[in-house]
Amino acid sequence: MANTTTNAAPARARQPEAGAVAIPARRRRYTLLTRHDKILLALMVGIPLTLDVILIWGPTLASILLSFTNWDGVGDITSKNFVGLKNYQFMFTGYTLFWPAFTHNLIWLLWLTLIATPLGMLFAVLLDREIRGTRVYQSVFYLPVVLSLVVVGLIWELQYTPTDGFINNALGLVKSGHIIDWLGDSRINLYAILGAASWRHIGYIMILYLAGLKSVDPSLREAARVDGATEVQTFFNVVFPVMAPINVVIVVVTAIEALRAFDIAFIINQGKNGLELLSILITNNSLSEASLVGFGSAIAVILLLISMVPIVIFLTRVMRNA
Amino acid sequence: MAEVEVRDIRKAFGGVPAVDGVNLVCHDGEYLVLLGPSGCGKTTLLRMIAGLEHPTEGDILIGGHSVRGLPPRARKIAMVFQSYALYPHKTVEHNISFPLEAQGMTKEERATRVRWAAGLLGIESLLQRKPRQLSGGERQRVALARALVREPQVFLLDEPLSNLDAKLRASARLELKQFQQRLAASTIYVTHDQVEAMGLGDRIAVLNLGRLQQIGTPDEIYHRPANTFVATFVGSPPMNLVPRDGRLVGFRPENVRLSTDGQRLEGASFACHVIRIENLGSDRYVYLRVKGDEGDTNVIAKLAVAEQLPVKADEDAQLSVEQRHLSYFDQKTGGRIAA
Repeated sequence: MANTTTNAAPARARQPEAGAVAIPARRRRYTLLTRHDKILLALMVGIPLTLDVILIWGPTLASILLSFTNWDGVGDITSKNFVGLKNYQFMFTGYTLFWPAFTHNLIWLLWLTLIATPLGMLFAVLLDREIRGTRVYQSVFYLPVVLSLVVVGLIWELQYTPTDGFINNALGLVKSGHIIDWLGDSRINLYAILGAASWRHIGYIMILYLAGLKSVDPSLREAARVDGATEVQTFFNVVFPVMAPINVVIVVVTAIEALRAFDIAFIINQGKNGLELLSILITNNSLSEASLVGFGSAIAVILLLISMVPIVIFLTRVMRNA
Repeated sequence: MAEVEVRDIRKAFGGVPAVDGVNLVCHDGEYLVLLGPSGCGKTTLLRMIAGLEHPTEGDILIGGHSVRGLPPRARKIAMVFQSYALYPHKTVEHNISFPLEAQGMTKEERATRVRWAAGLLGIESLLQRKPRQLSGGERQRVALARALVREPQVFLLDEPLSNLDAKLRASARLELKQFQQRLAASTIYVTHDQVEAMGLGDRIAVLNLGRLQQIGTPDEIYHRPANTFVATFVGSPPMNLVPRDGRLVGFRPENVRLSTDGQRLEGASFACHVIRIENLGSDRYVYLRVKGDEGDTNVIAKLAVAEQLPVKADEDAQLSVEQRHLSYFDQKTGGRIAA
């Protein structure tokens, strides 16, 4: 018996009657994400974003607003607290500690940029050559990085002690009677602190740069060797340019480390007598007995603006590559 | 140009020999191909000639002078890497001029040389581009130009066609051969592709497990292989090896004649059974099972489609090969023996 299943075409949709206006059917939007995906995405992005806004951008915005007030941290902020640009005016023209602190931060930045960071990069380049004992050297240079800056400060405070410290004794200054007060002399204490900070910073940069060097295509270095380039030529003409993304990270990390310098100076002498830094001024004004929260916030805003420069450079580079 | 000689060269990595006592010579102006499977030591050998690896033992001579203790830049060699190793941050022009810059040449001299090399390889219009803006074939030409500007004694090429698609590889192979012939340059070329080797080389050195198996012209390698490894590595399909009378009888698939009427040629004949026939367009592959006292052996015959096929699948047949097309190998050592 023949199969009687009909293969009739499916019924057509109803056509509008003659003379009637055809109303277009509602277009259905198609999406690759299911409802579950959307909820998950909202949670995964939303929760960190909310925390970021509450814990970082909220206080940042609050600091900016507070910088236009003379609020002392007690009671409500009223319109009477609003002082406009007076805090900034005082900071730039009347506050005797601001420009020394700004200069010290600048010196910190120059020191790290011109001395500590290049040393870290040099150690990375040397250790990348896989010389004997390279892992031991890596550990030795990296060890200070695992210490907090407070601990670093305490260690070096002991080393710099005028009569009992290692440095004066090692240099024979105690015996000869030419003791140097490394931390007490305001002409040199900043550089003494920078030496301590470099002890940690060099290891940090070294590890970052070494990781970057390991990712450079070895055939590029070999090609440069075959092309007749010396090691120095190979590094500056081939390796360094190829590591541009890592170089940007190094520069940004160096800038941020310089701008947020606080711990070592504070632990040594609370940032006085030649160790003034912007971050310490913020703390001293906002959290001390003076309770100049508004003024401290104004200094914080200046520090924020300065910090934006390396951050914007980094983000511009990242966005461009993306 | 110069002759390159490798004397009893050995290289071991952690006690494992990568190159194990190789002796060979690349004559002045010759195109010598190092051919072998992956891990045979051909690239290690090339890198030792370039100075990128230090031999454990042995010596390397370029132009009659030992270069064993010399760095790559002192050997007057140029190398094209498998990945081309073009500097990604430099333009094509600066990639080509970098070796001259390293030598301390003046800007004007560099510009002249770059223009000359770019003209020779037809890449003048690409000079301001970056490597990422180039196709595979263009990158290869830039790599060749960078090698050329140094006016080296020897060119070393490490599988430069392996990154190209099959169609481009054929035209690139022709360009490479013309390039070498124009310069009459001593060239050592590494490849695992036997078609490249047969097409490019004046002589081919076949390596396996770090040892030189045979060195000779493509004709010698193909028709008179020195051992069973060379016999089966070179040629597609590989040489058939059938045990008979305590030795292995080798013959190429294209030299097989098939019949069902018992007709025999002077040479060797084998009773066989046709397993399958494959039609590949211009050729036909006939898969056969040869019956023998020492067991059955699978054999492939390659016949032109234009030839009439005298057999059908699942049929008994007679396989014959002329004497001049036969090779004999020792069953234990695999080495070639007299008829």
